[in-house]
Amino acid sequence: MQSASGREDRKSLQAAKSILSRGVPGGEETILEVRDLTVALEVDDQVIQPVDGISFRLERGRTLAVVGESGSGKSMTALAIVGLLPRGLAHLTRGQVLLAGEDLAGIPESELRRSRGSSISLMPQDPMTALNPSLTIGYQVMEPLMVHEHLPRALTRARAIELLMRTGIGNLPAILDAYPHQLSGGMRQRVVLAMALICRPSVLLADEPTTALDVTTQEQIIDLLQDLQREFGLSMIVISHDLGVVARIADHVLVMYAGRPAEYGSVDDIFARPSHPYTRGLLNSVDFASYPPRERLRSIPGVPPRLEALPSGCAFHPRCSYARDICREVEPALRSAPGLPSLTACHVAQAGDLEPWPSAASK
Amino acid sequence: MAVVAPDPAILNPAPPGPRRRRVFAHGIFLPLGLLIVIVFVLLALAPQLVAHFKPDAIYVGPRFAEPDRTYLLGTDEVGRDLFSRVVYGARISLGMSFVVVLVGAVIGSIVGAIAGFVEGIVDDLLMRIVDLFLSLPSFILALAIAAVLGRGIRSVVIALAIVWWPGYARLVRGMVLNVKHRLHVEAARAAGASSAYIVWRHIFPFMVTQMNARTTQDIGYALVNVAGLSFLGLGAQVPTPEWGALLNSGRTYVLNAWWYAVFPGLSITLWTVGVSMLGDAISEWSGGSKVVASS
Amino acid sequence: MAGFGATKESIVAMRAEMGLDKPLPTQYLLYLQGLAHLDFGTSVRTGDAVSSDIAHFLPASLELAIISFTIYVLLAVPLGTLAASRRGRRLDGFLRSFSIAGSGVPVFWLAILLQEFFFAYLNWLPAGGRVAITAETPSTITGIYTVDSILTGNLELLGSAVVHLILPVATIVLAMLAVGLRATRASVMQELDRPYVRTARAKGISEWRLYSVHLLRNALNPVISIMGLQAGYLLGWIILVETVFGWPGIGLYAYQSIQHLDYAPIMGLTLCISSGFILINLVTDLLYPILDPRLRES
Repeated sequence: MQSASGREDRKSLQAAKSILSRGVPGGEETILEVRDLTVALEVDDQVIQPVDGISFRLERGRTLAVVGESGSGKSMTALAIVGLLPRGLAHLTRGQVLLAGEDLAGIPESELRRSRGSSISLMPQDPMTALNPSLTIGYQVMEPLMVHEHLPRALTRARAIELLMRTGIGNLPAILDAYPHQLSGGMRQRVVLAMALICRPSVLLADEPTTALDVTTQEQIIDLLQDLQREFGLSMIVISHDLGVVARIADHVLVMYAGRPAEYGSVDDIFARPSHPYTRGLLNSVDFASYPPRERLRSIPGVPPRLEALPSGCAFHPRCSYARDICREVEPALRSAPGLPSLTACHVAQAGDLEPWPSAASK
Repeated sequence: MAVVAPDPAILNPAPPGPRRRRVFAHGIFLPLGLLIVIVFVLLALAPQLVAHFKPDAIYVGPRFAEPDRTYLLGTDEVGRDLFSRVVYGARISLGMSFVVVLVGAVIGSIVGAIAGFVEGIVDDLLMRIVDLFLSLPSFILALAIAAVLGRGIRSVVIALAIVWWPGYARLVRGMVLNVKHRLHVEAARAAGASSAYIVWRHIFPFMVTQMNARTTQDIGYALVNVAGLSFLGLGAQVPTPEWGALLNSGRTYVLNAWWYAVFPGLSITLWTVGVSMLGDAISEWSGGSKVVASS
Repeated sequence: MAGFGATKESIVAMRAEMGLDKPLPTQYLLYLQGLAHLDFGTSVRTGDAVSSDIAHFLPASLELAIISFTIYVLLAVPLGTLAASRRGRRLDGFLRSFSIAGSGVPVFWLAILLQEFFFAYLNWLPAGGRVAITAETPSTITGIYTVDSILTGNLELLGSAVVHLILPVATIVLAMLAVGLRATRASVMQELDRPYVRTARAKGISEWRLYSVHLLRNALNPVISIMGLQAGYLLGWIILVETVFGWPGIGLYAYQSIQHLDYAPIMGLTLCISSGFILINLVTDLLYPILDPRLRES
């Protein structure tokens, strides 16, 4: 339990943050900085690194998308940031997570808990299973408030209702007494969103916010996220493998492959001038109405590598049409490349030898 | 499910390295359980090999002699050697439990098989009866039946068999229905094979593997029940050295002869534990090699 | 023992066929008539009506059963949860061995062992009975000595009653503990893997809240099933334990009736205990919808 004055300090810090966040949208202040995040995970007597050297910066009011296939480590990154790695199995070996200057990776769990849900929130995957089936919606939405800000019950309830209304849920206040199994997928997603935002965090980590939903609902959720971001001055990290969602919502994009960073840049640059073969492969396999239409969708040959048996050098080289000798030997670092707008972890790009995009032919 | 030919270009990476055996897997249980069971069965079959005295020979030594070289487990209130009594008791105790499980399993399997095969009203009726039995506490029920049938080994065995079979009936019925259901799917595909043949080939082995583990462990639980009823005076009568009856005698002499009650109970425990471990190991064993219907 | 929980069908069947039993001599017709009036006949041994005998001895058994079961649950659930929160291969192996050993130990042997050790050897605890012979039995309010002595403010009696309860209760608790611990641990461990746990932790709640509010209501479902089963075993064990400790409850009454081949009490007790068992299963069935909102209708 925190001391009264400790609580007060935290409250004023919270207040300060929220005041600041309501400032000019799109300010250049860095609210979250992740440096060289690396996670070790034990799998069957082996240690693998599902997250290996991930770094990025998130500015206030902006959205960063973390993109990759399943197994690329994007969800693990989110878990690592908020300290929710599966205990006993995984832990941070390196890295810093600087939230408003404080390194979350270095503080003990009990302190980290105070920030979780209140200053930085994780919106988990799959709303269908993310909620406790035996607790009411009302309780689950109010819980972060109850735990972090000890407000009178009536006030907590009022804020829950207000926020649920804001996320587009009707049938209030009756729905507070409903149980998750009585709600549709779209409604559950909104509930989960409300749960994450009820303490007005400065950072929201949204893990696959649209994956389990139908297309119409997806649109609604994306719109909702953007509205709320503007309204609350929220900084977001959206994890997704859906490039359509990324294109609409992100300001910056981090592309991950096999736990490592592949490319990092603004959303426009990533889509218009991808600087990494993997990113190009991803874009090739999706059809965008807004970009020059393609005749055929081409998937990237091969399968993502198993982390227990990573290829030497660049993890992508077995599937890469540009691969050279050096790619087999040396792991590329995320750096800027001549003539290219984004940071990229590719030897070929860094040597300036990557063909311009759109390319007429790939392998 | 259509089978897709694998694309040679998309090769699987090298298979994972050898998995290191976890120490506490069935590594310890199987040999230990097997050892215990074998030792006990041997004792039951040929007690004279180990026991020096006859179990009902009184005053082979002083009353209440403590365990020592000659009287390994001490003597009782009429100077009988307890070690010999316990060893000869194995035959009775284990024998009773075997019969209980055997009869219960056979009757239960027959009833369950009929119910599963025939289905319909017969199934409903039989299962109602089974449910009735299962909704009552088995030990109490067996106690009442044994009391009515009169004292003695036979009453206890009959009473417990009566209480035991419904469990098997339900189990076997479930298995029969399971395989039948799968067979309907199979029959649609594999046209021509007579169902009786498939039944014999598939139901039987499947049933046997599933039942093995259960029957093995049941022998242990049956013994506990047999001993319990004898302990209360219903089963083996004085001077039969059945382990439960020995415990009943022993508890009167808690102050003078601590060994009297300890060792018969220890035998029961060891047997049940050994058989449990064996059953555990068997079920893990057969769990890995399920009978798969040929396609 | 091959016992399974009752189904709604079987309760209906039981009600419809109440009184039906194994081979029926014609006397049973009269017996059945008597049952309709809750008359179980007369005990040859005591000379009293069986129903009044049962009523007389029941409180002692209730006291033993309720106290044992309560302590058992209060031990098994927290300890099992604690064990689950600390995953460890060695702990798993140890618990597995403990539960295999535990299920092999016959409860009546355990009772004798405890008696031998704590009474015969250490002489710390009495051999049996409910109170010391010198203590005055309380005026009967509930028949449950611990409660009655509190109600009448008789502390000396309370002390004596408690001391005499220790061994029988310990026997029963120990006999059931292995299974309960393992069941709770397995269930909680399974729940810990569920997605909502991550969601809950992501909110920054304390571990205590996570376990008490979020986990237990989901994890207890299978545990309740198992404990319901064990309550059934308990009913049988009461007889054995009361015999060893000379506890004057319906168990001892049953034992003495068996010794004298006094059939009326045996039949009466069987019916009563069976009814109790069915009641327990009913209660257990009712508990599920309370815990799991998905099971509630309307």
